[in-house]
Amino acid sequence: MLTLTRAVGEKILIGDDIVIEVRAVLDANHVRIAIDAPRQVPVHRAEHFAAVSEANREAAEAALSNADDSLLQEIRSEQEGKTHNIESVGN
Amino acid sequence: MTRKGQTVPLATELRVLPAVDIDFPIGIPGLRGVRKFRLEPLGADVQENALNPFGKLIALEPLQLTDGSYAEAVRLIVAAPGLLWPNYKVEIDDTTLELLEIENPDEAAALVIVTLKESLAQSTANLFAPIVLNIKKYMGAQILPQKYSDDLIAAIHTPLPQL
Repeated sequence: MLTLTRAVGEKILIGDDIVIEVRAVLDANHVRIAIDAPRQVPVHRAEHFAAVSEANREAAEAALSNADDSLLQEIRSEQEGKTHNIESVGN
Repeated sequence: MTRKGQTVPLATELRVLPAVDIDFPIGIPGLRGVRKFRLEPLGADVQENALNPFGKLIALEPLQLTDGSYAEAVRLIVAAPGLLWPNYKVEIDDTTLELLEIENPDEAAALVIVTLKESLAQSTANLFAPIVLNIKKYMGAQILPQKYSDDLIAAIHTPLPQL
């Protein structure tokens, strides 16, 4: 891993089209960074990306183990329940 | 022309769409190697006037696992959020607008990914990171808002409302 020291206003170039600039040092724990990257290169806070990736994998696993059939069954039975209720109100 | 911070119309119904193949030019986080999905409404046979906002997003390419192997037949359950959370708002950033070649708001629609649990009532949906589609060009991307989120995990696992 490459570790660099940069001053506010200085930049880092990654490849030929990703530019990272240190904009401000806010306090001992926070720096503000500007990133300029092509639109095909998604830029995210790493913890957000990790949390969403994990949720997506969990959703994919649940969709595999929980066949669509059981979800559909449940939707159908709820609807039957509702239709029944409406009919009984009508009566 | 759409502008930065544009709110995307929420899909309310999936049955109006025929099954369509959708390109995800930058894929979906966590599902490495899959850039093409088929969106199908779930239960086209469910009563015409009934509330069924659910669909399937079926991977048309194998999912690459961390150990280098591949998984076939991967899919996600998705929901049209318009009926479930009428006040939910999806804002789209410039980068995603360009990526999905969205020129007018009516070309866009938002969906959310559902994590099925034991029952529908226990299932959750990811309202933090919705999927935005260009419904004219059949392109899609999951958007992660750039703003800092305190209750990230809660938003990712929002309980489904009672239908």
